[in-house]
Amino acid sequence: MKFRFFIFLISFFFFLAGFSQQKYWVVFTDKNGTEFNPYEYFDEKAIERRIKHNFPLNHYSDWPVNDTYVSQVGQLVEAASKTTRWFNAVAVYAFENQIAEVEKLPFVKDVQEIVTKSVLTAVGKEIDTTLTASKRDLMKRQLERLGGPDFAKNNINGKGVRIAIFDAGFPAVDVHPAFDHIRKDGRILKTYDFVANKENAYRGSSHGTMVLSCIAGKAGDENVGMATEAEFLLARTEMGLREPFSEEENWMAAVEWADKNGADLVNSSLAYTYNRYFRWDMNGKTAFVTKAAKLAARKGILIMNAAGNDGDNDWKIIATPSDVDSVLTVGGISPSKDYHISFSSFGPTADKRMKPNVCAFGKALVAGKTGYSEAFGTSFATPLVTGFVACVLQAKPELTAMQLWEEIQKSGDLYPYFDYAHGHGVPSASYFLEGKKDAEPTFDFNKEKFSLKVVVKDEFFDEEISFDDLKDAIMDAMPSKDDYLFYHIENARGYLDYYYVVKVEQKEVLDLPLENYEKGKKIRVHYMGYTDEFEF
Amino acid sequence: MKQLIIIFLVFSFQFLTLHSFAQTVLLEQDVNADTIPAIEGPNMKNYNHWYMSYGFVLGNSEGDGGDVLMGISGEYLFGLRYKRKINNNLAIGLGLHYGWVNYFVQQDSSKTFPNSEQHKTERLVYNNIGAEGYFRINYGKRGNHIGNFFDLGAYGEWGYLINHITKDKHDPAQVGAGMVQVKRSRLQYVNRVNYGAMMRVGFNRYVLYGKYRLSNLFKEDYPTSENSLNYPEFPRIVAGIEIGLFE
Repeated sequence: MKFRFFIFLISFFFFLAGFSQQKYWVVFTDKNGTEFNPYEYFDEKAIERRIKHNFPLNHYSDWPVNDTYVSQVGQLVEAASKTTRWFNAVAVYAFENQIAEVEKLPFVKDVQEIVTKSVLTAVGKEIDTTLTASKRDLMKRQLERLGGPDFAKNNINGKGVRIAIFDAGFPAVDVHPAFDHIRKDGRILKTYDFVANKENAYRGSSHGTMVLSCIAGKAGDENVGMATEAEFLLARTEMGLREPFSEEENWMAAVEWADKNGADLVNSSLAYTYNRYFRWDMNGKTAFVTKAAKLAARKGILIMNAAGNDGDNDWKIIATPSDVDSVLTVGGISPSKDYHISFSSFGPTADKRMKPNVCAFGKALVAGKTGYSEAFGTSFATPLVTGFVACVLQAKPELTAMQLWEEIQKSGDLYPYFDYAHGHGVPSASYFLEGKKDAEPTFDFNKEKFSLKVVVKDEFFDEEISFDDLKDAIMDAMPSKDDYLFYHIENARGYLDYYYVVKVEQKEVLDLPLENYEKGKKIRVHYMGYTDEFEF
Repeated sequence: MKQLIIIFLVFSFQFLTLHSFAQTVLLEQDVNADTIPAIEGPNMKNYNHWYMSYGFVLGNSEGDGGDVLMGISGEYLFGLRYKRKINNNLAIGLGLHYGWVNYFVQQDSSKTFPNSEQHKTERLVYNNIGAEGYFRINYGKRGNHIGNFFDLGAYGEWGYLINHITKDKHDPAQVGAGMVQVKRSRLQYVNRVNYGAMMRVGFNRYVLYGKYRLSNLFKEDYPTSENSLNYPEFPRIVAGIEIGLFE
């Protein structure tokens, strides 16, 4: 009797195992029987963007999903959810036995399970609502570091550029004084909550509110972000910190929505990491969302995505969709040290491509639900860069999304140097206003019998310690990037083996034993705007 | 005052001058060390995690005189489990655990375990240290998480402390306490080593499990004091829920 009961238990457990409900993408074979009129479907600005990017107005990927297919699948599963035109698929909740039936349908091409954990790439939370002197200083410096005041002087403020923001909610954006100027002009064109399938996105986590402020917010007459005159599409795609499990389907639906509504840029401060993916999946090809990000780029939308905040934990590397080639991945630097902030995720991608592409302050002054506060995360470095990119697009509207992607990197203060913590460094407005200036050589490579020395030129190293130096040392003044020498060792396969940031405290900065470096390896050094390389 | 400032400045200059001979590396990254494939993780080659569980003792005793109260009889377990991935669908593993099992004995006139005396409550308590080995079948696609699985395995336990505990109400005026608990240890009629089969169905950290004890709790050659019959074997099945202590 007992043994029979045991057998019953086993059978019961097998029953449970076979009948657990999951979420799937059901991909269809075709879009037969559907009709599509791009002039009815797209916003005028979306049509302009497609013409500019030479992308067909009537493209198969924009045709709607066949409703009959969706309803037939819907009859076999527990519930059908969102559809994606771009990938001709519908998301469904189903048990395994149901999905087996769905797979038998003649118009079903593929079925893929959806299990995703997304991470908001912010650290910490709002702390207070007053704008103290230190907060005001941070606000000023987060834009100065990118050359924001130079754009502002030239009336470059993102006017006419349409930015979609994908985030966990935008509470108080409809009332906060930081966004008065945007609301007054009716520049929040559309909002949509893809989590609740409602138009109102002024709810949920204040993460999106903070992100918007870093793109276009104001504190009184001063700018928090640079693109104060841009237009916005706000999409709530994530549940926020209360519910860590979310779906890439919201992101997918949002990017199609952004495309339809004429977005030029997308700011996505989200990062999909462990649980669904492995580190080696961060290759720009594996995650479903990477495919959407790539297609968005083909359609002329530039996506700015946060590198992630896993730099000081086991995951360490960037998260998808930051691994996509055409996404502008943004890392964080410390405002007080002016180099990599510890939590900012590192590159390269799993297939050894350089990421992040650029960086900005990983600590920023933001407008939150109840006021202004300081917030940490590559979530906020990303919108600072998005505001910058909007300004560039206003100044140079002829640039396509991929040209923009390239030019923003070239404007980086480390360019052509790069590493996997900073990318090409912090973008600079002066590159677009004045052009790239040829930097004067600031150091020499001195090859000796057994070693290679990197020596700073006399005129760029002040051996005499001035009273100002002493004052700076005593007052603990903010260091700048020009105090540092960046160098990396590149192997013959073209990716980096090592990279360093060194504080220059003596003329002979490096003394590298030649025996440690194989033939074909290169050292590339950057100091005070000048980059040079030496091949071993 | 001037002198003090000059002395301070001289010392500060000296400090800075000395300091300038040092090289400060602010950031150092070895890319190849970072990109060594990780071998530990929920769906990697090796994975360890802690867990805790509670299971109910289910079924009837084998024989009369020692019925166990279902619902309150059960086991608490706390353990460490190791999983070795063979492929995406198959894994093997080992585990160690500490367990605490309570068998509450029904108090009625038919009771013979360990004698016919009736109490307010009476229980046999095992404090076990155990080990397990299992095969795991994973089903469904997953990334680096445990996923859905079915385990089949065997376990063994050593009861390092086994107590027979009774509680009885008394008149405080007579014995100076309202309740008297009697604990008997070093029991001569129990087997210290027990073993059995087990299975689990897991959905990430949430697991339903069942165990079937193949060994007998009581020594077969140990006669009861009253009727020279073996004690009735307590229910062999324990089933319950386990929670994996991992993210």
